[in-house]
Amino acid sequence: MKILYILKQDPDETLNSIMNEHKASNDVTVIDLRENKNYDQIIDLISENDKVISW
Amino acid sequence: MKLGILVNTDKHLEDIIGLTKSALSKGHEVTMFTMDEGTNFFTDPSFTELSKLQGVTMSFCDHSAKQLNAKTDGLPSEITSGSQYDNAAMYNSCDKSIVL
Amino acid sequence: MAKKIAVIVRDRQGEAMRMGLGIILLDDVIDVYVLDRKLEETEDNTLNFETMKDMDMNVYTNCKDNKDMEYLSTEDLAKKLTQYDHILPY
Repeated sequence: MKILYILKQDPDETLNSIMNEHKASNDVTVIDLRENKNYDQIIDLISENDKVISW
Repeated sequence: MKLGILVNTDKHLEDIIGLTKSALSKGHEVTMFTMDEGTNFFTDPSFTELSKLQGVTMSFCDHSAKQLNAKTDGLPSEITSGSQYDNAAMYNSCDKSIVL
Repeated sequence: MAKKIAVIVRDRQGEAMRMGLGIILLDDVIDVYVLDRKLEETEDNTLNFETMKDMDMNVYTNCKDNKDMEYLSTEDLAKKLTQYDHILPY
């Protein structure tokens, strides 16, 4: 499964645990929205991934 | 793709605008529901004018707006004053959703 | 078609709980996850949580202080999240 994380803040301990769990058995992509303003790329990733988690 | 955007903070206006315009340029549709601190954007035309773009549907939680004394007078007619029902309808109809 | 939606309650518990309850208005399945801290016992939170229970909604937590909710480790919680169409951290 492809999972996209869109981060708006530094990951806390809980989010790191969730992401690590997902990375163990899924194809995980992490975008830091504070740095990445390539909106065309982000929209493509949202479209392509099975799950999207904004945090 | 139908993209739902829950706007519940007033911190990511640049991203909301950028992602909305990019999605439209790629032929996607965007539905936006604004609540909580997101209603503070109602004073910013760069946010409210998104409602006039073809392919964009916008509504907001009237309860939130009243709680936060958000400015709803003079909003474009394309923005629907609504409730969590509109939020529910967004998730029901959208393929993907993000929270900003 | 009905969707499966996870509402993740983080620091803004009041509005997150209100939304979690509010979006049951259609036929979608709404599950609520209270993360990391005890649900503050405000009048609104208590009412919303009680209503969720009355509606047979699933309310999970990774915080053992939330006695009336189903406890999940953060790892198990992560596994469950992949089952949802929409995941909404609030």
